Amino acid sequence: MEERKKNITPRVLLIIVAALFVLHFTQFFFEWIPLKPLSGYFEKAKKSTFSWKKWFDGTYQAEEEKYLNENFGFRSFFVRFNHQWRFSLFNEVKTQSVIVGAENYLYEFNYIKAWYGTDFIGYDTIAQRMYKLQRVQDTLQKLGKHVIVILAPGKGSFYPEYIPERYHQDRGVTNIDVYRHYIDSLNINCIDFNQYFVDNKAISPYPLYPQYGIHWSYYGVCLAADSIVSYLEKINDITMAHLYWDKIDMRQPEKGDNDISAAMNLLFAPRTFNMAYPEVKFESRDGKTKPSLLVVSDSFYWSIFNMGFGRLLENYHFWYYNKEIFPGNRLVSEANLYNEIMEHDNILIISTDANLPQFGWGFIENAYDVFFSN
Amino acid sequence: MVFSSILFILFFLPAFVSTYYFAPKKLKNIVILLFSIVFYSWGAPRFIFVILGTTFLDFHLVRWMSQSKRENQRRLLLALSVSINLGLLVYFKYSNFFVENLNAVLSLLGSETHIHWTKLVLPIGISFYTFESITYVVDVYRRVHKPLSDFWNYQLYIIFFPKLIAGPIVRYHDLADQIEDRSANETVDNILTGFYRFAIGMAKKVLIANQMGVYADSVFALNYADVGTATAWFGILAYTFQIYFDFAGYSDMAIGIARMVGFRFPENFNNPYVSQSITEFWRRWHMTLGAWMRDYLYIPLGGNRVSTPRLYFNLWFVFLASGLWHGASWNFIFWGAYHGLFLVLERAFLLKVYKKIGALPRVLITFFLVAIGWVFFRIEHFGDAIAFVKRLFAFEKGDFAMNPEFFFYLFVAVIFSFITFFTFGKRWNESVFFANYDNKKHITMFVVVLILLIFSIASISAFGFNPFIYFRF
Repeated sequence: MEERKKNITPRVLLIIVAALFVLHFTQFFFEWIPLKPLSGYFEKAKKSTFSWKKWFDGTYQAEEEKYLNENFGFRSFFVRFNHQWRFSLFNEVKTQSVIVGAENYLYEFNYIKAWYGTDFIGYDTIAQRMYKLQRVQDTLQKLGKHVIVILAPGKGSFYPEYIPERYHQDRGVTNIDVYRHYIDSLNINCIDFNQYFVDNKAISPYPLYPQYGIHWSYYGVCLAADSIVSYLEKINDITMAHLYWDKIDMRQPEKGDNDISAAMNLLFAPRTFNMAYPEVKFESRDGKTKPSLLVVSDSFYWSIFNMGFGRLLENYHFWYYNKEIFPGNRLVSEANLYNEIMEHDNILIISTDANLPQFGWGFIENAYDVFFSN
Repeated sequence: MVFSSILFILFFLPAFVSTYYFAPKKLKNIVILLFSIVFYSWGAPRFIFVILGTTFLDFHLVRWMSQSKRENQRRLLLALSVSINLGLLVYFKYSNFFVENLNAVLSLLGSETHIHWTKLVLPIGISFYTFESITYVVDVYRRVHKPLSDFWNYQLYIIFFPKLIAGPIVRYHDLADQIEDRSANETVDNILTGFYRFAIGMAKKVLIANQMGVYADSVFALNYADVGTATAWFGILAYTFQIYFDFAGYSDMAIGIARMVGFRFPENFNNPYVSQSITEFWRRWHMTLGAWMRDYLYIPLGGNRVSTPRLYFNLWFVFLASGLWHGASWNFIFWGAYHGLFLVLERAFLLKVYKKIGALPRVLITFFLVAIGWVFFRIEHFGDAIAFVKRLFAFEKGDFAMNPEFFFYLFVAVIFSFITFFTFGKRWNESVFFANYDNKKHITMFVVVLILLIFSIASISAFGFNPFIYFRF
């Protein structure tokens, strides 16, 4: 009896090993256990096609291996498991450029550089860009069109106190300081949310910036959207429908307020302070003016775009990084810039401080060329 | 294909083991052979023809030699077979090095002649399978073992994939009988213990060596002139543990896979960092290379049964050859010479000095010498290596910081490198790797191995996965 029991245990263990491998194979082929997909942006491997040429030069093997690495059964669980224990034990984050600050405040490195001015592109570059913008603004103003610069807040400038000690240094001249100087001296239309958020950080009833997100909080976005409407009304001398909210929910961060944390691909989202979620509503547009609007922006505009800001507007387009056009999924390179500008009465150029080295992403220079080259 | 890849762990290995056990007995060697050919050609599709061609030639030369009655002819065929194997090794591995050095000498002599040479790619595993081919021909020549009667069995001995890429170097006479019949070893116990060994090796490689490698790489990428002393030491310690856990882990995986299909491979590492002398270190480090060097080079040179100066020469020569075997570069030759020097010094007087100090100082001295040796192994240019060694003793502060994660892995590496210095560690080591398993031990080990495997697969699957938060242009 004892001998039989002795023989059974290893057999059972071996069956468990075999079952685990079978489980993996079935998940690989059929994906019968639904798993949360991995977040963030990365280039996905494609299934390779076999040819003897590719076999002998090794490309088939490399492509196939990459494909299997990214698609084996339970992969998202394993990646999340790995990220979880490394984050829990060592505060290690695998997301591109993400830095863990004091008290687990998360940054992207370029926001830290923007705060200290280590990404400063120089007075001349900024001056040249802003002089071009001023001439474009003045030209369009004569045509009844408005160009407005929006300086969005940045994580480094909003929460400099949590930047990890190893990055501490004396602050130099920053891009945003020099942009502000030229915005003032050249009378360029501007809403400086970057400064507004910092000024209101201590007195705002709700958090304006999240701990685990890289963008402004949803509450901050609602305030910003409302301010943009007011600014458009003022500059166009019109009355627009407004957005408003009667109720604010307090809950754990979601979507944009949690975007770094989501891209960290952990098993369990880290707990943090509750964030405010106004239930945004839009006034009726009856009898109100619906201006046209072209927005050239970095990712800071997505949250305004996604909240349905377009309901207040007509002929409304978002040029993401001056590359892709939403809605419509067209490319900016395929559009006629002159016609596009002429079809919109208002142009917003929005950038966080970390993206100011590439401010406008070529839009300002291209618009200048459209109106002033020869 | 490497063992520590998703392709191997989750696809190739389960397919191989299950096909092997479902195949009828007479087809089992064919299964191994086919999987080995796929394994090798996956990583080196062109070189599969080199390995298949040389084994074909070797097999027939050795058969001819074994049938030959004339000693002269046997000797001639032995020389021919060894020359072909070594010739290929020299051609693929050392011709780039030889031509580079010849051009350097010609240039120094003021000659305008320059030998043009297209750099060759090294066939994967050639250093290992060449040495194994030599053991076959020499063992048959010495009549230690009869030659294999079936060409495909010889092919299997050479190309058997667990040992093909990074050893252990399995001598022909250690494997010959198992190729013919290993049915007694095809047990549930062996499959399981082989699986445990594989998972332990995987953990060594993925969870310790790879982590240490990250830190070693970051330190060795610095400008050596600016490296602080503490940083330099952490860098070389990281590399010292990286190379051990990497190589020993790979050997464990090879031994484990082989055991799963009934083969018994010789051990390749025996806790080398607890060695109390360089002589002992070489009995514990890459043991199958040491055994090969002893049996097929040191003993033919005369071994110990020679005059003292000749003995010292033999020792040094073997270590120079060993250094050169590790890579076609002067730093490997220097590394071999460095170890050879300490072996000679130990024979001459150092071992007597060591006897007067305790075991712990002996271990620390040996570890220190081995770690310094790794500087020359890691850094290709001699001048850079010397510059790095100087930083180790400069006693200057630098501004490069190692993060807490490094110290965690370093702690784990130290524990598992030195645990067998203590009696309880020796007992634990014996119990895990060599003693029989009862049910309780099976269950404990199974749970531990499953956890290690989950951590290892998680680590591999996340390697290189660094997404952006948002897509940028």
